Amino acid sequence: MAGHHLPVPFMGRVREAGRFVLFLRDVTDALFPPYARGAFFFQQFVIIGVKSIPIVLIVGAFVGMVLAVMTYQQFSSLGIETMMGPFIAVPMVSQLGPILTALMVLCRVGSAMTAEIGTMRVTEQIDALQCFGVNPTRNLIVPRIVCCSLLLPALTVLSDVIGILGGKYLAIHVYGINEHYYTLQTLKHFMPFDIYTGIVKAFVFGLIISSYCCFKGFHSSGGATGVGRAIMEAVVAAFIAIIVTNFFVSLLASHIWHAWFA
Amino acid sequence: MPGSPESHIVFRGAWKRFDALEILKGVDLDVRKGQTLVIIGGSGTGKSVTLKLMIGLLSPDAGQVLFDGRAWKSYAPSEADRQRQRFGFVFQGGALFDSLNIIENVAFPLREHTRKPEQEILAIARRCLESVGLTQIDHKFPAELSGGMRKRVSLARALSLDPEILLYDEPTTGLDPINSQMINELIERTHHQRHVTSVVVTHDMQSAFYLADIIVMLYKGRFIFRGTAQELKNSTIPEVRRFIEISYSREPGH
Ligand SMILES: Nc1ncnc2c1ncn2[C@@H]1O[C@H](COP(=O)(O)OP(=O)(O)OP(=O)(O)O)[C@@H](O)[C@H]1O
Ligand SMILES: [Mg+2]
Repeated sequence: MAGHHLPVPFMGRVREAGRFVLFLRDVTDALFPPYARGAFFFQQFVIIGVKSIPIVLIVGAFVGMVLAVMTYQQFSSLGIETMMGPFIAVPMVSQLGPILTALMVLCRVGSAMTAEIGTMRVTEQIDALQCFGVNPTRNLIVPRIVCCSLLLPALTVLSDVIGILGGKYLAIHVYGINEHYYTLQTLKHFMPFDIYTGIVKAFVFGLIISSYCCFKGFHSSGGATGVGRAIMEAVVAAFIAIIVTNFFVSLLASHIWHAWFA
Repeated sequence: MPGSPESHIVFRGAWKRFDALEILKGVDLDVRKGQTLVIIGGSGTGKSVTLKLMIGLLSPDAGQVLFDGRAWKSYAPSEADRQRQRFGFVFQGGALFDSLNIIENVAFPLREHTRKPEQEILAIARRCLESVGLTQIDHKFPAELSGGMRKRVSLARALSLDPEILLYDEPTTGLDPINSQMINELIERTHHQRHVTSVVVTHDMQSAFYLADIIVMLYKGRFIFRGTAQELKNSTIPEVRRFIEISYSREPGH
């Protein structure tokens, strides 16, 4: 049989990659016509979007504030603490907002996607759906992927805003920096381009999380242990993919910035 | 002969493997209209896979699985969905939808495939539940039921679209003798009252002998036996003998 000359773990990886590609093809096929029931979308909208808001706010606020603590510590020794605004806003919007929101959604929503779909798979509920002519890709997977990739940018913006406000609050009310200068400096060095980069990143992270976590669930086997393993593998792989993708998107964005705007 | 008009489902040299694991190695099988075919075999030999091939949920890697004389592969997806409505599938663990209560589980196929008014859908669902001896559990959730009850609900759901073919995946496994016998009688009664074709996968020899017109045994990717219950008891094939002896020695009271 073909493939028997190659080491087994390697072939396993290749097969897995092949299955993932086929899975993505099925998903794109099922995207149009956009037929899945509205109820499925609404359910995911609430789970992924609405219910994530509190955690996003808490994480965003504290990250913004810790950025303020760190920049103040550095800048006050140089006597340039009125300059610290953009050093909170830019990393928040282009790096920490997208990454931390994505990781949080991965933990909260991604793992649940693998668990839920994986359990449906190993208890044959997915087969049962198919028996009744309900396309599982269209009705289980597509709503999750669509909602996750569209809502992650929105959650990221929320996290950015609250992070910037948290940093500003600390700078003005705790460190006593003049609000006028602080805002002026922030607006001077803070570019819409950073926001766009962050949003594009969030969209890509949303795609990574939802498609890979759904895939691992959809192809899980071997009972509860199998689902547990699928969750672990999905979260770890998506985590690494997010961090690595973030680097490359940042690199690309910086090239674009220098080529077109600088 | 395979493919003759009264054959409902036909396997012709069907191969199935998962990665390097060969499950079926070119098997032939035919399921006649109105017959009860019982498939026996050890754990992990591919009995569930065989059932999923029958209903077109899986497709063979080589060879063919025909339904009413046509290969599943030759059906367009929407047509395959329509053909599948002629089946009722009782899954190994019930495969009830966790998020729906019992009555909604049974009503699910009706909601998907018929445009009947709400009242009628619920009435049919209740009738199906009654026919498996379940009342007053409409608003419970699957997690609140015992294993035996879940299997009966699963049967009720399979009956809701009035199928022509019923596939049962280990309907009595894990049940006590009284519940097992009750399920067996239910399968038998359904078979005669509704004039359906039944395929039952089991490793419970008692229910195999009780239900079968024809028994086949799956062993290492092939059907090594095909015949009536009597022929099975008299079989001299060593693997078949071993399977029967072991399954009897494991059951108390035999
Ligand atoms: N979708 C799948 N992907 C990969 N392997 C699978 C898949 N479905 C089944 N298998 C494998 O095929 C083999 C046969 O599985 P199957 O469920 O048909 O066994 P079975 O005869 O029904 O056993 P049991 O009596 O335990 O239910 C098993 O080893 C199983 O791991
Ligand atoms: Mg099985």
